[in-house]
Amino acid sequence: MKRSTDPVGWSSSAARALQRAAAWIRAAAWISAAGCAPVLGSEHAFASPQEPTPPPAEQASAAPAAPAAARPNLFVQGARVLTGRGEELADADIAITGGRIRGVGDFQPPANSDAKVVDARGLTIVPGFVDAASDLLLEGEARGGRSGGSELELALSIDPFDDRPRLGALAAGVTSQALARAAQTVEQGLSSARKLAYPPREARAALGAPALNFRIGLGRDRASKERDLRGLISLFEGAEKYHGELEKYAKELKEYEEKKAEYDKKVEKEREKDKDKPEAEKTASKEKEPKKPREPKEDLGKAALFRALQGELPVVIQLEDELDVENALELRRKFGLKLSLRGLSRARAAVDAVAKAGVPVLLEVDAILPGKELTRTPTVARDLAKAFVDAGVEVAFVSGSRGRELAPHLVDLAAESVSRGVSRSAALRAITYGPARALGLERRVGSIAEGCDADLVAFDGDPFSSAARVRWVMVDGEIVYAADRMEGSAQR
Amino acid sequence: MMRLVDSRGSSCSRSTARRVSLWLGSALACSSVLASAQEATFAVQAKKVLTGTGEAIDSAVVLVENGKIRAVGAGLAIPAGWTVHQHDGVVMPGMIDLGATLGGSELLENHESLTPDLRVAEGLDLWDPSFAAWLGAGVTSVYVIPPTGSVIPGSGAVVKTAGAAAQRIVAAEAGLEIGLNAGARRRDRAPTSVQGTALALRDLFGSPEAQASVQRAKRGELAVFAHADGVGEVRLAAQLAKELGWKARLVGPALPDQALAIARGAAIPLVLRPLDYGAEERTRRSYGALGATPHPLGFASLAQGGAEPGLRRGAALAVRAGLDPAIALRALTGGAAAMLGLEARLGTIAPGRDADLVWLDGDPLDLGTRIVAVFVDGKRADRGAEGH
Repeated sequence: MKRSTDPVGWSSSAARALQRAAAWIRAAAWISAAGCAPVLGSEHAFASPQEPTPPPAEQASAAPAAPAAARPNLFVQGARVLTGRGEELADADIAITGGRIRGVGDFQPPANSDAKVVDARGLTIVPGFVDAASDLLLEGEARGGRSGGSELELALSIDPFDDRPRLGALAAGVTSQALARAAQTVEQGLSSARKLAYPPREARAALGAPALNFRIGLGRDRASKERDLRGLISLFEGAEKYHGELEKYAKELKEYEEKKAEYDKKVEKEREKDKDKPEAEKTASKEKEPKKPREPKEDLGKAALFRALQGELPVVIQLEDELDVENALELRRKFGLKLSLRGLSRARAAVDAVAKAGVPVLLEVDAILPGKELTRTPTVARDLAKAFVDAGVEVAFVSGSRGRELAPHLVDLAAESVSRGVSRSAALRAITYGPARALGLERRVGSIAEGCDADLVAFDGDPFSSAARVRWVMVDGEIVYAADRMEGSAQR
Repeated sequence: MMRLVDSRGSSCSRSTARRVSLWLGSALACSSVLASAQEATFAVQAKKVLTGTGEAIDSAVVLVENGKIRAVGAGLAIPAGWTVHQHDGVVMPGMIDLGATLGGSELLENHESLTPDLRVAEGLDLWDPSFAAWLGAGVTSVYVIPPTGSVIPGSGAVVKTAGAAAQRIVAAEAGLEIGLNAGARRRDRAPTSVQGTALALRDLFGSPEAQASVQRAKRGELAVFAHADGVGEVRLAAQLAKELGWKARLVGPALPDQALAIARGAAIPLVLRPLDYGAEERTRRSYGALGATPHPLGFASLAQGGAEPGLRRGAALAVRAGLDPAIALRALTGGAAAMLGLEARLGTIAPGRDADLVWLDGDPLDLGTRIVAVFVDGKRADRGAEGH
């Protein structure tokens, strides 16, 4: 099957339906204009220049939040820094310009500058935690339920009245979060990510990362799993067909417009000829007017599905066991989807297949701590998370369908995963860089590296130690939560 | 492996093994009992020993002899010929769950609201798999309580989670269970209200013909574990304790800081449910608000069977919320033993105490810390147990 990025010719007026759909998807996700300066992970990310070099001009232009060539206006000094990607730096400084990290290393603010300095000696700084799937912000009805459809936009179900869950998670260091639900349907809707520091409907909260969500294997028997797979295949085939109809319509419309123009010209000519004749002698045109083709009914769900087929819209499939994984990977092979998997609490046998396919996994509490009372599924393997990590899979720990309970405990879940054999650095990665990568946001959030947003969490000890507490949380270079301030206000 | 040492609780005798295999009809159980048999006398050299009294000793030695602790300290001389175990981590006393219904699903008796002479010890199935799960989580003693469902469902028993059957029941009648909370009442029989519960209890304790266990509780010989949830129930529990002469322990208040304010004045120890990830912000804050206030504390899973007690996690989350770590640790060990009146046997690593030891690879209150080994009465007991 041919799948070009510009299949209908966007100039054609007939493609408006698709354009509309695309615009809708963009609007739904509130993709912010700013992209991260693409410097992450390179060897110079942790170089320690005395003065950070200004980023190249084109990067600066891609990031309007950071004024080009501006000197750092904020220094976080003297902290132990865990970058989220495995590096640990003792006594490091973080230079920040316009809400973005300009460098990590050994910096001294210029003597005569008015740059702000945050003294972080004795603190351990980690990237703001990223929760790659959570129903924390959704209103009650939207979290589970039976309503579904690929056109369903989860952002519309954000609870506008209850801000406490968001602020609670933020105070626990969760700075970015992608919407997700766990409905009893195959089609779960369109998700997107946002920063928890801002009211979720504000434009500056938007992180983008739109994705289409599905759930398979709800019925646990093989037959219903097969039905889910076939259902999804026909969904995607339907989207292809829909797109074919749009293409056909575009072609027909173009032909029509040509014929119509010709016809109009002819009619005009005849009219010109008959101009002086009296009304009664005027000859009606012998030619029949060309018929306008019918526009296919607009279908936003199918349009979204088609964008997933093009790889423009990632797909997240929530599932449980190895058979579901097999089916999801089958879909990926068949349609070339950009896939990540969520759940997998009983998919111990599929670890190697997932690793081979190279898809990231979003693990909920049932998979992070199998056998824990809180989990619903029977224990299969206590070391499930470790197995995925060891196999080289990009792992993200998520609060998932229990966002209200678990989002404030993301760091505790990661800490407890260490008792199940996950290494400390892998556990931290699973709530920072791992989920950022799974969301395709690794250039903005999830690590402390040059070019990324200055989303930082400062602990007064090791983040996994029970005695340690969050001292402050910074988002885009602004302190959005400070424990001292809260303690002060708590004392009536 | 087959060494047969005939000393109390220190080894698995052949006859015990045979009995076990008969009871379970399974040779497997027998072999696992035998597999846990070890030297009755050994020394542990650990990086750190937390004694359960609040003391932490670095590079310490624990001497275990015939299932009991002979000595503990830094730079202790190890007698010649003793086996020495090295542990590059932490050793702490076995933890104590101050309230859980383990030992089978046939323990509920709730047709009458007051059955003080029922003894849960008599109904226990010591081979209920939950004991092994608790053991794997480092809990070596459980105050087993009858299921909630009546105002006085009877008395609870202190049971070890492993060891020879004959020695597992440490105290058959360790406390009288009294429920002032909603779970203790039923709609179809009196009392159906909190005030009705108070009346029924006053009647019972005021009666000269009250049952033996009630008489003992009146004289303060039997501790009363009063389950109270809301602040009103907590207040009532403190009031009744004063009126009726209870040696009371207050179990399971929803908001511990408010309960503490009441319990402190009345000098009543508090038994807390472990916090869990699902706890509300208000609850978490209430646990945190206990801070470093000196007051006798313990933890009770209040589980009815299940896969794990969640005690260590609960304490760790309470510490994360603001509870003093030393207080939390004592609540899991020595403090809990004192509440049961069993501090001479359980809860601390000190000369003469049972050698119930937990080896960990780090701070017991860090969520990432793993339990490496569990010893009960000086014997390695966690092999084949669920988890960790």
